[in-house]
Amino acid sequence: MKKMLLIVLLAAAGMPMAPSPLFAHHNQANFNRNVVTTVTGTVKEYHWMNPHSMLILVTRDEKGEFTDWSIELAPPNSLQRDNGWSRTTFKAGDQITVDGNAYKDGRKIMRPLKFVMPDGTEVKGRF
Amino acid sequence: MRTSLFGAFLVALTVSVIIHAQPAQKSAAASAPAATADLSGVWMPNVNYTSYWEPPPETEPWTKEKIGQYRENVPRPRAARQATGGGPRPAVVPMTAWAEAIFKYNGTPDGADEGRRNEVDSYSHCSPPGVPRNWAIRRPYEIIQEPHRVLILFEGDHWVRQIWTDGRGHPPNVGRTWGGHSIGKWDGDTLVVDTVGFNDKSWIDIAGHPHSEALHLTERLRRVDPDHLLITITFEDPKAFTKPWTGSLLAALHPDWVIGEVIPCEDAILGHPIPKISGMPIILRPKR
Amino acid sequence: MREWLISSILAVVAMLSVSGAGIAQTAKPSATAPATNSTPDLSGVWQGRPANQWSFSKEALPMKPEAEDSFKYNTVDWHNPIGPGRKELDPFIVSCAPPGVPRLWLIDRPFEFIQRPNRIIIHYEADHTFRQVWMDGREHPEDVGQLWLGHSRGRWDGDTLVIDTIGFNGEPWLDNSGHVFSDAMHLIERIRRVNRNTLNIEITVDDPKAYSKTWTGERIAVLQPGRVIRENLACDGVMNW
Repeated sequence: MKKMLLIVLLAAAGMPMAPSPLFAHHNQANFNRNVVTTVTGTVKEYHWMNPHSMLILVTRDEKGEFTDWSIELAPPNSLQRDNGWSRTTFKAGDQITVDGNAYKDGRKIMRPLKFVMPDGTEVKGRF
Repeated sequence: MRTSLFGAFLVALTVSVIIHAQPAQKSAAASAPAATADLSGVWMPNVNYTSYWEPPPETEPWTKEKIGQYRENVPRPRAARQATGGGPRPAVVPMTAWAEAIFKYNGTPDGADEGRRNEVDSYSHCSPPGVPRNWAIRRPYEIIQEPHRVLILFEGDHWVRQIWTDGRGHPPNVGRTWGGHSIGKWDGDTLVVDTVGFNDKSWIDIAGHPHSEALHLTERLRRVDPDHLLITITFEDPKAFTKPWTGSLLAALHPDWVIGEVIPCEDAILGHPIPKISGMPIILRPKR
Repeated sequence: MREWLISSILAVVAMLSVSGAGIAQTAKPSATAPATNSTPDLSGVWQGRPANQWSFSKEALPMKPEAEDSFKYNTVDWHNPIGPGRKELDPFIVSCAPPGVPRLWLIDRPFEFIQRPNRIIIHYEADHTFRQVWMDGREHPEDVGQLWLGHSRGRWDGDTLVIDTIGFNGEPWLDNSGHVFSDAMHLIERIRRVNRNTLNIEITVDDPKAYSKTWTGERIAVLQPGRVIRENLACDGVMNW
């Protein structure tokens, strides 16, 4: 308990804590389940790794400005078993559309519900 | 004459037996009670369990419908208790004041269902999920039955549990570990596992219920139908719980699967540039 | 009469001793499953010796320039081909990275061979790691990927277990010295129980990206009767609260 309080205090004071991995199994409650956001864009990066695979999409907002969206995915073995995906399912340059739940605080990170794949097929599943 | 010859024979026999006495462990292994059920195979829950279900009455049959309800829903203990009238209910955890304070601290400020605050969840920081939490995570685990032990290979965090079924007890110096020390007994269709020797660093579930080093688990594993494994866990921990309580979860069989490789924090180990969340720094590999 | 008695007693004791010794020798320390009479038995808990073996080969390895650069950077004294690596650069120590294969043989922690009908499981205490060596003739998967432990298939060659592994990500150190390997490595491990208490592990590294030719190295392991694999975490105390 004391240790936890110390860490909270250090964080509040802006001091560096022990380095921590950041996408490791974090709280899914950060995503807004009540709103579906749609983004269309070009795949910039596709990371096939634990604990969360990741797609970085370059999209254009209403003003025409380029912006990156991070699509947080399930771990590789889950993507493979649930959807038949692999480390080569996406590559840089692919055009896709993603419907998903975005971060509550407005950051451009989302958990996907549905994909329109590079070949135009619609895919729903567990991502 | 005959008596003394017979006596000499007995002496010789006794001496021979003493000379060749086997160490206790060897004879225990040789005489380990045979398994009375087959739980072997690759199993996985269909959902990430937030916490555990209240176990249904033992006499209630496991219909396909009931299996579906337990398998496809998630017990959410921080939400209001689900209405009575059938269906699975989240187990209520009878916490002591010590545990209540930590449980509250472990939750998110808005009290959301998953309720888990990353900064204080050791699993978010590449520690093992621990026992029994690793049953509740949507990653497959394989049960392998050997004559003297049941091995469980968990794909998540590549964890191995050894449940000794050769009649041994817990060692006196059982230690304080993430997984504890497990001994098991076959009871008809059920494997009954007794585990002690925990550290207090893990949570018992994703919801953030804590436990102390005094945790004593009794896990009962049995198939409720050919494709479903019911895992019923009795928690005893006088520091964390006011009385023993029981929770359960259901895992489904995946006969074609093999346990794959998972390295939990390879994103950090590999130093891939991924967007920051929660203000946590990224670990990078030492650069040349 | 007495002499007859004494010699009878001695004969009985001798007889029982011989049969008793026979039983003692054939009883296995652990009643693990199916090493049949025809397959060699590697089952049990073993530990590599000596405790601080830095590399697999006593000679300088045939490194390609980039791999040699990495080795020179990673090791304490690159003139010494079998010396320690720099702890502050060791991913196992610094980043809690898996030690990987084949380095796991060189970590001073026991490992257990568990022989099952279709595979051999190797459970290393170090970083609570397990490998599955498939013995049922299956091929490596087409998309084998980039794994920390690779994908292993094995077969018996007489009394030798031959393990064929590909699909590495090339991330871990090859050994405790700081030698490296790439994702192109094709590793052959030949494991033979030379006598009841000794295992000989010979590794053959075929890695065209990192090494200019195939080379072999060795590790000896000693049986640890009565020992069990205990819990071990790579970074306990550093990343754990």
